[in-house]
Amino acid sequence: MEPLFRRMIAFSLVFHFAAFGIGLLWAALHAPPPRFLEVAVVDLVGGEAFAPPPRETAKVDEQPAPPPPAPETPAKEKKAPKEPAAPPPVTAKAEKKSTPKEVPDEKALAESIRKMRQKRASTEKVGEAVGTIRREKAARSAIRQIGERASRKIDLSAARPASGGMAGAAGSARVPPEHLAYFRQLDEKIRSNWTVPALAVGEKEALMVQLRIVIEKDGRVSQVRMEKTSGNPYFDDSVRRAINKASPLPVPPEQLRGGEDHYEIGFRFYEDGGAS
Amino acid sequence: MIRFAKPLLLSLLFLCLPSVSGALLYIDINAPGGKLMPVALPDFVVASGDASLARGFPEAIGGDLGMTSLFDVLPRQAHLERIVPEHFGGRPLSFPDWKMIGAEAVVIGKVEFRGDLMTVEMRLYDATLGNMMVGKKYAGPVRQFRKMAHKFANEVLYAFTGVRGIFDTEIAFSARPEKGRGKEIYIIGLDGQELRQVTDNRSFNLFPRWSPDAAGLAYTSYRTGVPQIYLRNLATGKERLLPQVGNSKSPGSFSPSGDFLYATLSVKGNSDIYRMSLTGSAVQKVAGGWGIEVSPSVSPDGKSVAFVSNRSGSPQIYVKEIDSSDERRVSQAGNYSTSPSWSPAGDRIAFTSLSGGRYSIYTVRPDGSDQRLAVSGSGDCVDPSFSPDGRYLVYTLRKNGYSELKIGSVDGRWQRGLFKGLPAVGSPSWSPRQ
Repeated sequence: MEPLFRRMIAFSLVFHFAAFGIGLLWAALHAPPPRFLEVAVVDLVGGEAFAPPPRETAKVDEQPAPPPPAPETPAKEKKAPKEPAAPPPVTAKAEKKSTPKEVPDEKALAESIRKMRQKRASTEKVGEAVGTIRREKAARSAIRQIGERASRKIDLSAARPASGGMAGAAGSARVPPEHLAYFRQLDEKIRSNWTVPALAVGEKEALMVQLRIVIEKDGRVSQVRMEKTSGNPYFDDSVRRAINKASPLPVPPEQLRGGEDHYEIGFRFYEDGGAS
Repeated sequence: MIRFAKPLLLSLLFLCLPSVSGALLYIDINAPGGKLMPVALPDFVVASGDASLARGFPEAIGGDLGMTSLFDVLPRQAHLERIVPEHFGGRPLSFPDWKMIGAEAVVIGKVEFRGDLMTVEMRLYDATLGNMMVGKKYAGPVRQFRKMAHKFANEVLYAFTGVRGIFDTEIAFSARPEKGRGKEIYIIGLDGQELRQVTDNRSFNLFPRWSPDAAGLAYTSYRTGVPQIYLRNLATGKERLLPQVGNSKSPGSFSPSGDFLYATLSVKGNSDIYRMSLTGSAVQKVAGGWGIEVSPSVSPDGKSVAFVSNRSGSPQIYVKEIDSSDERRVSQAGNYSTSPSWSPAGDRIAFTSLSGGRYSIYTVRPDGSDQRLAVSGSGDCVDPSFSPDGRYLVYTLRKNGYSELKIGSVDGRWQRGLFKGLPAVGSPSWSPRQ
């Protein structure tokens, strides 16, 4: 009788433990965490069922405030690396992405995994971006080469103090300093009168308009002849407006006119869509 | 020495000349970045009646254009020409004067009253070319003058960029009225003007959502003691109660056709996403499970719905194809992510997420890739809603029990306040184009 009773107790114990264990497992896997049941009531202070609990706001404000002008910095970051050539804008973007990462220590592990993933993603993106930039550059230089076969380009980069480009780059015309000064005046006058409506140009759209103008000896622009349009009418219009707004242009030197009462010159207007 | 220098220089010049004059010359000009389009908005001509509109119109248009970070409104002290009625009868503007002060565009207008009605003629001129780019006449009640100004601001933007403006859109939200308790639904213009109260029942009225034609709102009201969804026609003020299924909770969004409303309904204590017919009485469960599913937002093509579920242990954003069982999580791990809003182009979903101890607004592609921070501030930024052009988000900024509505660009570069005149403002919803 006794051994049977003992066996029964043992059985019962094992069975109870097993049932309890299964119950726990079931609860852990399936039951919704109780705290969300509380939150899932419609919040009358605004937001939906999952509206941020107000308690947490109070906690947040006690923490040292992170740099407040956060919304402005990305804009500067994006603008600044415009001068150098290919990769910097992309790295700047990657940096910007990684900024909102200050997370409490407990999440360090999850965070580092996420960082690794993001890094991988960002390097892929850099690769992609470099690729597109290269392709665009190749396309642009091809366009320029075609243009140069038929014409001469004046490189004003040496004369323009802001950008430190090379003087007399390949394919440039040899221009006497007086003329160079005049071309620089033209460039400055037209450039300063040119407003490209940023919304009208796609983010990675590279555009070019080529035109020739006739400058009368009093500086008035008497003719504008479009040679190549960009395909974007709003960009083309902005160029037309720039020419008209800049007129009258600086009076062309007599030597340039070569005895005639007008002078003809061409311009190529570039918009790189923030690519280079 | 000097005597020789001149001829020497000249001869050198002539040596160079053939290389210059013989070829076609091109000067390369790179676009100057970040320049604003200078636009002049002289006082309108007001024949008789309310003279304040002479300034009211240009100020409203200038405010709209200034918001784009694209236009620079020239100060009126600089104007050299006054606009007179003859300018609308064939007399040309003195374009050299406008060009001289740097204007590229000039907007002129003439207002005529007929009782409570008025007619406004507005023209946009390209000051550099001297041609009229847009000319429009608007007629309507005098109190609608801002709407006319916004419509013309849209035209100006379109003329220069080819982009359709959103200046005549509005934002619906809930807030506690100044006198009294509960919460009421309000609507405000995008320029922060013309606040109007929509509901007035001294109860809790929450979660306004626009119908696709911008003619009506769906919202939750507790006026009978239990939360129920009402549809309100904004023009007539007529309301319709949607059939109650379980405990009706809150509208999420209308289907693009306007025939259905996706809503969170609580049936037997479990919140799920349902699709309710607005023409019939059909109610169909779209997404659910044992977890809590709330805040549906329908994609612009009407094929998918984004919603919040806590099935993984914490609230996260999920996307479900409506006619299949295909479901995926789109918000990243570790965050408390809520209130999804689908962009009008369908390419991104904005949502609120907890990171670094505060709520910020992120956007993500519907497939869950490319999550980006859109808005973060000195407090909690919650409840995003996309503008109809997809370039901006309206959201609630909460800090120390204070809240206000703000507008930020999706790229995070720009933010400004929209409204903070009432306590407990929240759950903003941006209207479609009207």
